[in-house]
Amino acid sequence: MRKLPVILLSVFLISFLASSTLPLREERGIMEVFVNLKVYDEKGALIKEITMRDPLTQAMGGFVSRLFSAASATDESGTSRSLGTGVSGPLYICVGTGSPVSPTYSDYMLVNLLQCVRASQATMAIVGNRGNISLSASFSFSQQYTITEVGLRKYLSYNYLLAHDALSPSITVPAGGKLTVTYIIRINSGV
Amino acid sequence: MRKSYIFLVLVILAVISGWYFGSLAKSQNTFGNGGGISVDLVVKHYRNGTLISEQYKRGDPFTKNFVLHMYGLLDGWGSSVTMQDETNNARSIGYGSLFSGTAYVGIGTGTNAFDINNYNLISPIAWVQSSATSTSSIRTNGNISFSASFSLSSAATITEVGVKVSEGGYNFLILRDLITPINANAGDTITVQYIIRLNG
Repeated sequence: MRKLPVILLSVFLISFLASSTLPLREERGIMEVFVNLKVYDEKGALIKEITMRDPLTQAMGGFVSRLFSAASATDESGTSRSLGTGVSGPLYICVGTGSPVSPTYSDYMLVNLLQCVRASQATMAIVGNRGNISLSASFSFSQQYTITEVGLRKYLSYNYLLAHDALSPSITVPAGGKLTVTYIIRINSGV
Repeated sequence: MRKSYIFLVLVILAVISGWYFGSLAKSQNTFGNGGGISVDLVVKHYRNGTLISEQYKRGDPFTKNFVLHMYGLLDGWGSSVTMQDETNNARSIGYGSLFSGTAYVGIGTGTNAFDINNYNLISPIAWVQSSATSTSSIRTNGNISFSASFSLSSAATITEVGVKVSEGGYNFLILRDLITPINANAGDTITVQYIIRLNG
């Protein structure tokens, strides 16, 4: 009977590990969108890092739909636009200070846009049956800001918000500090 | 006897609580407000107008050509991507020709497992232009749906389905998956519906 706690703890841990590492069935062919944020102080030291799974918006839905047929998307001004053929245009990563931020699929702009920076050239890698795409941008602030939201914006004659998420909890970038935001897209993450 | 019973109950509780907290830990690995795209597939088999079988598959995998489409959308600097067309020839397609809005759904009899480098169905027997997409959304989730219907002129065992898009004068496979084999007769109808879930 003295061994009972050890046995129960072992059973708990085995069950915990099995549950936390088993792949979800629906992850088989999913495309996941993650955003990683790193905050550096004025001396360049990393002081905070978070990674979230970033929700997509109606504009991304519009572009995906445009793969298959005519489609439209709402631009940053709230105007619905028919999407034409082609996706040649710059991409921006944006941060904001809105409050409250409750992301929805119909979002077309940040609640309170602070700054957008043109993203680096995207990189792509295929490993096995999986594909990864990543792109990033760096923000430098001369004064302290509390960042509460992040987004991804495509410019094609108009600005379209492709992804938008709230930072919960928010992150504070000190005066003279730097924020780097990296989007990571994992395709077929469960194959 | 009573001690054994209590021991058994405690072990069961340990399993349940371990599983519960483990699933919570997993959801924190993919946190946040859950962003992404997944593709569901619904294949129905009709004979003489009567539905005789239906299958539903989640997480239809994407080909490299789809990855390159996403790359083109998310790359704000480049000008073209090189994709394998349905004849397995490399084609350079300018970003200005991507997402042209013409797609075809195909069925075939191939049995090879999915490979990200698939450029066509293994043994295609028919391609049909997809219907216009229909869209819907609820809070953070969006759905895009389209379908195609096939009337078979001869008997076949359908084992694979896929989607190709037409851009710059070439066709590029972007989705392919195996399905539970369907033994169809001449005159039977197969409908294939794709449901693309955003954040779902």
